Amino acid sequence: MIIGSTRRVIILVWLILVLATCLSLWVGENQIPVTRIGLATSVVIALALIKIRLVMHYLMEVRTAPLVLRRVLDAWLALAGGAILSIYWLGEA
Amino acid sequence: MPHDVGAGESAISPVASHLPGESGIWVLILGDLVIFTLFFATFTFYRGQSLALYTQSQHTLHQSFGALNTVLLLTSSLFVALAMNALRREADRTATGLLALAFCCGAGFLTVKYFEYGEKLRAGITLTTNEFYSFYYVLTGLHMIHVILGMGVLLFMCRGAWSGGRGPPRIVLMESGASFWHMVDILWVLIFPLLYLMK
Repeated sequence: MIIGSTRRVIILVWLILVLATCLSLWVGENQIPVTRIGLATSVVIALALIKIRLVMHYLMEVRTAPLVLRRVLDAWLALAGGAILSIYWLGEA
Repeated sequence: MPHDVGAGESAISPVASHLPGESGIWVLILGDLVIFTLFFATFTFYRGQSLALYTQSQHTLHQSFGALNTVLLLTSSLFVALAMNALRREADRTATGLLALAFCCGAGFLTVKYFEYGEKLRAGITLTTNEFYSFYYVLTGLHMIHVILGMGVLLFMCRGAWSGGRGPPRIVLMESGASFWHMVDILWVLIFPLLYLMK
């Protein structure tokens, strides 16, 4: 039975995670026109959610965990991301 | 063992399901994730109420410190994942070394936090300066407690990997520790954009 990810996959995922962090920093550091501030924040939060799913599935070994745990963690991620983004946009309105 | 992997995922990993760690550790992890999510939602709500104050205060934070800490924790997670891979191949010495490297990344995280907190405190910025800094100290402080606990877990895992021995109980124990450490990483991955990058 194969558990977890191969070394190649683990290193590839880590590289993607570091690149996504650099991209987030670039978006966060740059002067963004006022009209695009909401979009920039949404991109940064979306990148964080993608990173979390990558960590959970490929480093935390959730990809091969029982279906119920995978669904619960996906539900948490959707709920956390949805709550943060909707509260943010309500505050912007 | 039952094959409960969804149809779309069967081509990726044709394996039976396997819970990484004790079920108890997952109760703790899910509880922590929910509590921190409540903090994140509360922070975002209050930020929307006093946008100018939060934006002005956020400008005093060094985004590069936050990004460096993110990379340190992601790298520690890389080492822990590689260590678990090594343990399953019975490469105990390699696993010990990788876990020690993960511990060093945790120590690096704390060092960056030491300089970051020191700079703020010298500038007279404390928990009570304003609402943003209250969230800043509480969120990063609670997370730092998790990092310190996690580093203790990593030391315990190092000892376990070094002492050798085989069998399911040992691997389950190591998986529990690894899952806890990855949760510490996951929490920071959300704290970083919320406190440092959100515009």
